[in-house]
Amino acid sequence: MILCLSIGLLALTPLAYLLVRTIGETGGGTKTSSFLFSLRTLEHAGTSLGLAAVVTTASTLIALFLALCTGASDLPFRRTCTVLVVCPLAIPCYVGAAVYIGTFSPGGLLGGASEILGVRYGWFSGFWASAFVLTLFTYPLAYLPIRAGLSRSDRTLLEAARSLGHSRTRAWVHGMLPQIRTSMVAGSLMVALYTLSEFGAVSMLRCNTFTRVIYLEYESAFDRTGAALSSLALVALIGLILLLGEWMRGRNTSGQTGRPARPCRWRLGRWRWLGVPGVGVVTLLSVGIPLTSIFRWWGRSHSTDPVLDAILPALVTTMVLAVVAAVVVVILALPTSMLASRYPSKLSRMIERITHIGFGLPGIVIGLALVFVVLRFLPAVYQTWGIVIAGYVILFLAQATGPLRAGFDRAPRPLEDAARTLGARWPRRLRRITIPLLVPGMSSAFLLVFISTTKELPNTLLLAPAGSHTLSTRIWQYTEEAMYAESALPALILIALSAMMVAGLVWREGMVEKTA
Amino acid sequence: MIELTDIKRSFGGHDVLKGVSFQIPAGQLAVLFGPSGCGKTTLLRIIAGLEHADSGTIAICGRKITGPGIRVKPEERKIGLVFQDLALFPHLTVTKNIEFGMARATNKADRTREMLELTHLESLRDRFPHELSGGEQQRVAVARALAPGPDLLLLDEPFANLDATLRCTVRRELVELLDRVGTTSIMVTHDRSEALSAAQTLLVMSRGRLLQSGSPRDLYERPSDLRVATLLGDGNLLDCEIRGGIATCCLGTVDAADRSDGQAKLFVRTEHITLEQDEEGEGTVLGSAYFGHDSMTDVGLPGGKVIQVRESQERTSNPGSTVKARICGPCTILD
Repeated sequence: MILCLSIGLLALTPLAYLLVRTIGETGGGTKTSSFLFSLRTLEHAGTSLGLAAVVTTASTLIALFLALCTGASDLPFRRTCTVLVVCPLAIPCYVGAAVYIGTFSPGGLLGGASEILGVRYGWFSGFWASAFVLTLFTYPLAYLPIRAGLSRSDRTLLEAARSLGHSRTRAWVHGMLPQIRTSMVAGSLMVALYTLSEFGAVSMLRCNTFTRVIYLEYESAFDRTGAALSSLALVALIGLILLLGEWMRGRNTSGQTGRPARPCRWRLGRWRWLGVPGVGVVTLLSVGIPLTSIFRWWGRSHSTDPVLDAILPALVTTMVLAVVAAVVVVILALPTSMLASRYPSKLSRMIERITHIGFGLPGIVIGLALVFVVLRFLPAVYQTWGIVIAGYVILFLAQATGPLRAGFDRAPRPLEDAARTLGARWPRRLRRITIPLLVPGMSSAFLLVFISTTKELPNTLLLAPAGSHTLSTRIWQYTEEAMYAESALPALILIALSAMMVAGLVWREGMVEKTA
Repeated sequence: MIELTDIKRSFGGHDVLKGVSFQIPAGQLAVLFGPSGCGKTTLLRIIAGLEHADSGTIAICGRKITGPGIRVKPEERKIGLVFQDLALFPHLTVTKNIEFGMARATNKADRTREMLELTHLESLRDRFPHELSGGEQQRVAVARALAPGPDLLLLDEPFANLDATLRCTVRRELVELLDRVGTTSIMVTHDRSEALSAAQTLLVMSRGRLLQSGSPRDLYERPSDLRVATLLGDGNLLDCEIRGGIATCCLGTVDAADRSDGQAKLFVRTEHITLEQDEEGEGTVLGSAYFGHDSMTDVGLPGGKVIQVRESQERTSNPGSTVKARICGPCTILD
């Protein structure tokens, strides 16, 4: 219990220190308030919120359209479409941004388009470019919950509304929408939070949201107090969005009656073929163009040895780092998950929530907070891999808790009691019962953290020892230096790794089967 | 043979067991019966060693396993336990589940085959628990608990997870099996028909106390108090007056040889009253609920008293008719 609490609290230390230090340094007074109300800050807040609003709205609309098409209609090729529309999950946003920058640059797949349109190179940047890229690669975050909500929804309510004399549209608004409202809000919330935390894509596309500003202030100006204040402002924004989500979710209106639901299915009639181009356009923009572009750049580069020389060490570093981080995270998450599964109480729920805080925080903020803590208390570990892993632990602890908890749920106390009454002492119980049942949960927790670590950018960028690289920082560096051909290989490797996780995810949700 | 003496247990100031004592002769199937929350599952877990007792002693075949300063670990007690939710190991096959408790046994293979045969599971030996029906899972749980040859077998609501149609068959099979194996067993249940039909010794518990023990028929026909009487079945509580060894109530007289004179209560089971169509009778049939195999008839008596009578289906009285009610079976005088 105490162990769990200390793990949870340890994860919170950097953020707490960030707060304390900032207030201490600025005296909590004039500098803070002048910062908060300066025009610059308001501008960054406006950009962050604006981007979040645009991306969330667009993503939710796309997700809703796709979910209705693939989940509640007689669209042709529904199974294929379902798989296609979650594919963008495999492409990290910053990889997507890098790819699109490369696509529109001279020699890129659509480089010619810029010439024809008569716009200068580099036009693909800023707010709207960021919104475009983020929408393309985050809509699956909204799609998955809405799709799940639809398959839990019940046609009976719709039929009841119609039998009470409502028109088709009104029946839909009153009988159907409330049923998927909860999952829509949850999906939009995830997109909004992701957009606010996103660092790589907005930075590459030079859109001045808080995450980019924090990095710029830290890196170029060495204005650490400014960076800390921006971080706190960003955390406050995230808190605000979470509150908004809580408020929007409101009462539980899912109206579960306990009976197995009969999901809705619309007959689209002659419109049914219209859904296919819709899915097609989205897939073309989010998967087709990026993949084609990457392969095209790769085709031009893969004969050059220097690229391999640079990528191979980065690949090895990434793999080693990810394995170590995943092992550490799983070990640290074990006690908390066990507590949550075996001894459910107010305290254990609270501890579980604490570990979730890191998950909600942007990587750049955690990285910055860690820099502060380390420079103040443990300067020796500054710029070592240890501190990078500490960052991963804080970021991904919550990801491991879920599957591990499910693992412990599979090996509940009564099973151990049963083994005891059958004469098994604890080593045998552990070896024959608990561990075998825990293995699936542990391996999926490991895989989840492993993949997340390989994709992670801001934390790595901020904390990694100078001169060393992972795949993600290589992509970052090559894109900054307009070396698009060189970034193709690391991007491909990352996408392949993520695709593994998406495949696992789709398989676990049993979505393909459910569609059948 | 198992002997419990004055077992007490409280959780957070609430006395769950207030001193329970009983003994069960070797080879018998005893049923611990009581309403939900009366402490019977706690008692079972204490016997198994999964819970500790605040005071009291437990001895099996003369070996003390719980007592002052003694607390033998569950894994060393040689007591088998069939859990309410069965707790089969989901990642092990039927055979592996059954073998689990025989880690050091020399004749493991023979013993396993024997258990599989006894429980008719031979054809399912390589299945996993989730591939079995509820009744089959239940048999695996019993086989697993019996395989190490325990001195005592405990069964915690073993039929709770079966549907009603299956229960009866599974119960009969289990009673037969336990009889054949000859292991001393204690089964916990809150289902009265289960308790009455399965038990050789019936122990009735309520609110942490053992109320009465004995053969099911004894307890049903001669309950020691009103609680035992009503827990085991429906009945009517009538005022009566005892004079000279004869008790007189509104339904007539019954023998009360060993009772002193005075006012008392008479408990008569609903099926131990007969109704006869009789114009002169004092009872009026108020209504009747039909259950198929029998029906429950409400009869109004002079003075506003209403009694319930269980009638066989061919002789159900019509509402409104006048009847004469008579006691036709054993009844109990309670103080």
